[in-house]
Amino acid sequence: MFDPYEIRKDFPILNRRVKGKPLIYFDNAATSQKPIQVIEAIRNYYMYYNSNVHRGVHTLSQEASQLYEDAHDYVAKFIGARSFREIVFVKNATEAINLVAYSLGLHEFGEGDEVLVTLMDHHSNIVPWNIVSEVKGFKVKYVNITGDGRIDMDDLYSKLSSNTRIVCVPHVSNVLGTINDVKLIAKAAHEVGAYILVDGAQSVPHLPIDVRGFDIDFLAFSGHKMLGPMGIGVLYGKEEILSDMEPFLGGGDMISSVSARAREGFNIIYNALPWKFEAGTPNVAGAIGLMEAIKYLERLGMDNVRRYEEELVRYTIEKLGGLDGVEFYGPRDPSLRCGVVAFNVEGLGGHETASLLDDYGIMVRSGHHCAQPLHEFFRINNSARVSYYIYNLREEIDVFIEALKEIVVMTSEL
Amino acid sequence: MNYRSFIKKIEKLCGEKKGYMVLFKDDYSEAALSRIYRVFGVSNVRPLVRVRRDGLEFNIFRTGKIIIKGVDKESDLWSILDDIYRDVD
Repeated sequence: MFDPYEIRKDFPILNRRVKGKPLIYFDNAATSQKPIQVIEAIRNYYMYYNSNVHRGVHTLSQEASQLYEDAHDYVAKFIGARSFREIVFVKNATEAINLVAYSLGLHEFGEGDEVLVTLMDHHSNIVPWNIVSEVKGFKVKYVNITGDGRIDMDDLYSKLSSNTRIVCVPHVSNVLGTINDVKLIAKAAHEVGAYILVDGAQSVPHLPIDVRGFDIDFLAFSGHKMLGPMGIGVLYGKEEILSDMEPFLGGGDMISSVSARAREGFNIIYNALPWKFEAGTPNVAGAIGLMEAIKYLERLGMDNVRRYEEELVRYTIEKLGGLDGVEFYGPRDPSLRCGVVAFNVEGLGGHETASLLDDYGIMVRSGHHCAQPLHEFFRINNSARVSYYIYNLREEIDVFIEALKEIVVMTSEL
Repeated sequence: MNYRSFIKKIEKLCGEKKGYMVLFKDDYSEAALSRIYRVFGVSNVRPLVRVRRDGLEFNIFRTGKIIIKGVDKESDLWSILDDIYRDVD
């Protein structure tokens, strides 16, 4: 049973008070809070299992290696991948996208090729492609969005061509909350022979994910937005594609052999997947923390997580829609969006709004949320953003709405 | 004590082409803010007081923060603060 009141008991930080008020944490799109189970798993690792992985025959190394490999397995099952070989641990979603941009873009794309990104992408899905395009001479094209904050599919279809090498889209916008139909986009990309890379940073923590059902080639996401620790992220890639890709980083553990006799021929043989893409000592504790986070989410059920967050966003939209002096962005239909709502108060910038909400103990993010092209589209500099997770409550939204009403009145008197 | 020791942190605003946040240390925010209120001739009855002066916008938060818009460079920000706190030692 999904009971947010019970869930809250697992999150010690939610007992905090800020400026004398109970903490209301509405900044989950930036990072989620961590349940005691995840905190304990990381603590236990360092207390009882800490050892480097994959290069030791002793007991601790074997135990740490087993846990680390189990974590790959858990992630693979959680997102519907075929095997752990399709799961590469990285630092975060940004690094996962950079891995693809460099390993694929730098080695396989060139002049005449095109990469499609959308106006609603996070900078992490825009900037790496632009950096690599400067070196390789391919074009980065931007797919438009509609006024209500969805990908303009007509524009996407018109920009797809035999020159398109990869289509990069966010599964869920980190500003608008829009859930994009990645299965449909994958089909369109594959029809012209292009890959699809999905930024799942805002979807994997909140929605059931099935990479094989969606038929996507790459999925990037971060552990810290889904109850796990910071510093661990995931790149999913289809095995047959990863197998053919060049490594991103070189070093220990990503090779199966290295010979110093370079002049006698090819002297480096890469390791098997996924280790070929995991150079150097990995974040073992982070992987174990992420595995525990996934166990936690699986116990709740991702369908239940999705259903609950849709209720919260429905309630928010209803309440915000009735407020004069507040504008919010993205689809009006809650079934089309996750628990993210960006908004602005008339006469205030996002930072002023967030600063005032902070006085009520309400933590919201402000700024361009690393999505400046999206803000340019809406002709705004920045916004404030609430974003929910499994432990947020309707009562907290009520406090937020009442605070916002007071802020609107106060602003009218400035 | 130099007024700069009142300041906990300054940060360029994300999503504002020209803007900075100045955050005062808890122990000194009252002294820092009362000076600003006095310089601008405003009172602290509201959580947020906004003052526009010389093309700049000062958003003064009672809880110890100012958001200054219209400032391009950090060196300009320091000049503005130096001016406000000119004779505070």
